[in-house]
Amino acid sequence: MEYLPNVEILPSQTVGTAIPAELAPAAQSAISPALLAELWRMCDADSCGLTHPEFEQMVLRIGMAQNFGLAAGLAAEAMPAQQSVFFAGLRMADLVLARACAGGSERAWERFITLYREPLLRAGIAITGNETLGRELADALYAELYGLTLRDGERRCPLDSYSGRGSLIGWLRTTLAQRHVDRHRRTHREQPLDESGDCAATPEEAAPGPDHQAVSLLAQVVHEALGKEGPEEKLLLASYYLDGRKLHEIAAVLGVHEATVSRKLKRVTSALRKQIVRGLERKGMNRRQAEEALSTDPRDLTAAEHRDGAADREYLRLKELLQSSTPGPFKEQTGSTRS
Amino acid sequence: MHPMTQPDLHPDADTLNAFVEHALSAPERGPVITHMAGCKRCREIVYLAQAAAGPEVTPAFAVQPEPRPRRFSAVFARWRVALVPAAALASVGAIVLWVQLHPAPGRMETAKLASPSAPHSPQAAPPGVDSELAIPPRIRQDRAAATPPLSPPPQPEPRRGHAAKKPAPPAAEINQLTAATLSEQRRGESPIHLDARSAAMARYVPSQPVPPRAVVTSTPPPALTPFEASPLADPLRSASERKPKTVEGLPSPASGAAPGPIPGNAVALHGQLAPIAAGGPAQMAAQPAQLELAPQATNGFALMRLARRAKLPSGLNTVSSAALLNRLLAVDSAGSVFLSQDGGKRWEMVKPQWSGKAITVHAPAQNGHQLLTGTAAREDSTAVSGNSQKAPAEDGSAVNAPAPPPPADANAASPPENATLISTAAPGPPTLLFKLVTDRREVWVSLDGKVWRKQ
Repeated sequence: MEYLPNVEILPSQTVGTAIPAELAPAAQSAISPALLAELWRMCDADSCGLTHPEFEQMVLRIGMAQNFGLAAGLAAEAMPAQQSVFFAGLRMADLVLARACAGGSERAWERFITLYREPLLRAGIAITGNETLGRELADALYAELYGLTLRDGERRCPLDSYSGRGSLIGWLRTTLAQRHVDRHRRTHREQPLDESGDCAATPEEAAPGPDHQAVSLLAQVVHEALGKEGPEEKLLLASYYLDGRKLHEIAAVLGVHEATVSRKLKRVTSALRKQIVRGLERKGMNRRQAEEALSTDPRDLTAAEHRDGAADREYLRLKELLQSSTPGPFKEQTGSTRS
Repeated sequence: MHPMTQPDLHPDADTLNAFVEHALSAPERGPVITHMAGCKRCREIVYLAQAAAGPEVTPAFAVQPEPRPRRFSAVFARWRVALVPAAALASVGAIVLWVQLHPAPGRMETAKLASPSAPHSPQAAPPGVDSELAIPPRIRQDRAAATPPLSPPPQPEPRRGHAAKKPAPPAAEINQLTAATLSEQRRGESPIHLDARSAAMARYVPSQPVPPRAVVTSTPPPALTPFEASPLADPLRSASERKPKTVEGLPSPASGAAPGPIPGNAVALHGQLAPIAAGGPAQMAAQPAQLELAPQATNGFALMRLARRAKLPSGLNTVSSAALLNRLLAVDSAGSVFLSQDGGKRWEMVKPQWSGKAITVHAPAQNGHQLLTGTAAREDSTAVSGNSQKAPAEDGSAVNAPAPPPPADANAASPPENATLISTAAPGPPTLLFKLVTDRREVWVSLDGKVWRKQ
């Protein structure tokens, strides 16, 4: 069926959240019919059970939510090229399917299950490492996606938070991972380090003693040295030395070659070691004492896990120091860029 | 903690997924990295999502466009088999072309004279002994091994002798001698660095004694020994004319020694007999000058001239030079002629006896002449012929013009009186002449380089 945009059709209330009334006049004149027709074909909106007005309103809502990629206050409707570029940068087919599912379209759900059931199940098994737990995790996410959970008396569908910047299956995997990590932390009653109240314990609180004094001095210097490192270097150190990630895993996340990760790690650890030794020397140690306090290599931190309890505590102290660089809430950093 | 209940504490799944898929812009990526550096939960989520994605999410560095086969490559791929030999042929062709365009210089070998402080004394020893002593030991051994004694043995008659014609050397023997000479030169045993084939030619001694072709008799000069005219002193002779002439000289009555068998490769230097290969150059080795062997025919002998441009008293460059035994003549760019009798150490200007400027000088000016006695020349006049060049006699000895080579002594400019230089063809002008050409196309000749007469 050839799509002919009908500007007289009002936004449908059956899919997603209705466009605010003040947006309706602008919506009717915002997106050019040619662009809508192209998006219609590209998203295969017919298979999602959407009508043309519903699709038009959905696309307009997606665009208006981010002002078509422009800064606030600019009129995007006057720039069809900008609109085209904005929509080309999004996964519009996944986004339209997600919004259609969130709107309760049966055909959209059928299509979603057809496309993503098996991949979601495989992702659950891969994340949990167990088929039972993986199926359980995937089924739980299905229930959540159906909008069975209510918040403030309103059905809440997580698919509404999908913005189309990444793939829908990627979003599903990440959501599965989130659920798995959260459940693991909940069930293991492990207090998150970043939320623990005593994680910022100062080195001065350590018990006095010759060894503890040296360790507290070392922790203080390590804290200062880590504070001078950049976020990517901290991420490298944390991923490699604290999380035990392999080079290829870090490289895949950062989008670089693992040789680059290795080189960066070597450079960062070397610089960090020099800074720590220099800091210890400034604190009154000679170079030999500083070397001994440093235990010659930061990797010895991980080996401390197998030592006695006292050493384990010291290891945790250093680990907390490394984790103490946790920034504030993510919302404060990103500002209002996210919708 | 639940991300849905605490959405502001951690990045949501959409942001983390965009981070994993490298879909974030740089400004959006920075805060996520900053957060992840200190948030173990988000790191775990990201790494779990990345691990679950497996190969689906490829890092940005790994996404490389597949190289499209170019049209140029596709065309050459079909001819790949033929390209290798074509390239090899092109390389060979380039090398051949380069060699043709840059020919190697002529085989100019510098004869660095070995012992300038030990000049050969011709009068000190009998000719035969002297010539043998002048030969390097290595060459003497080779010669002794390869050459049977020439017949007849030394004759007591001082006025007659036999000279065996030097036959054309077989190619195989010349090749062997060439190889031997090269090996000697490589070992540094040969005191003179000659062209290997020329040296081999000079060293060649026929294995079979050849009956004398011509026997000449001359009056016994006191220091003159029979010799074979050296092709060294005959630069103008063509290759076809360079067949060695067989002569027989008389031993010096002063020495009292009987004339021994004349070596086929003997050359006379200032009346002394010396083999060409060893004795001739070896005697020249007594001179401290550096001479150069000019390119020559394979069956010929070397011509000598100055290897370097000697410093002349005029301060000008040498434009022409010639060496005749131990005398060097040089013409500078102004046309002045200079003579050196000590191998180029000291030069004296030759008084111009010609009009105009000298252009070139070379020696010897004529060929086919050998230093013989008058009797030998008369007897040999019918045996050897073919050289019709004649020069008017200056003095009374029209037939047997006294033309000894320049003496070894620098002061002895006049030739020995009892030495006779005759033509093998007919009575003619003396050989071993310097020849000088002026800018007026006049040819002047001289025996000693000092006294010139117009030819």
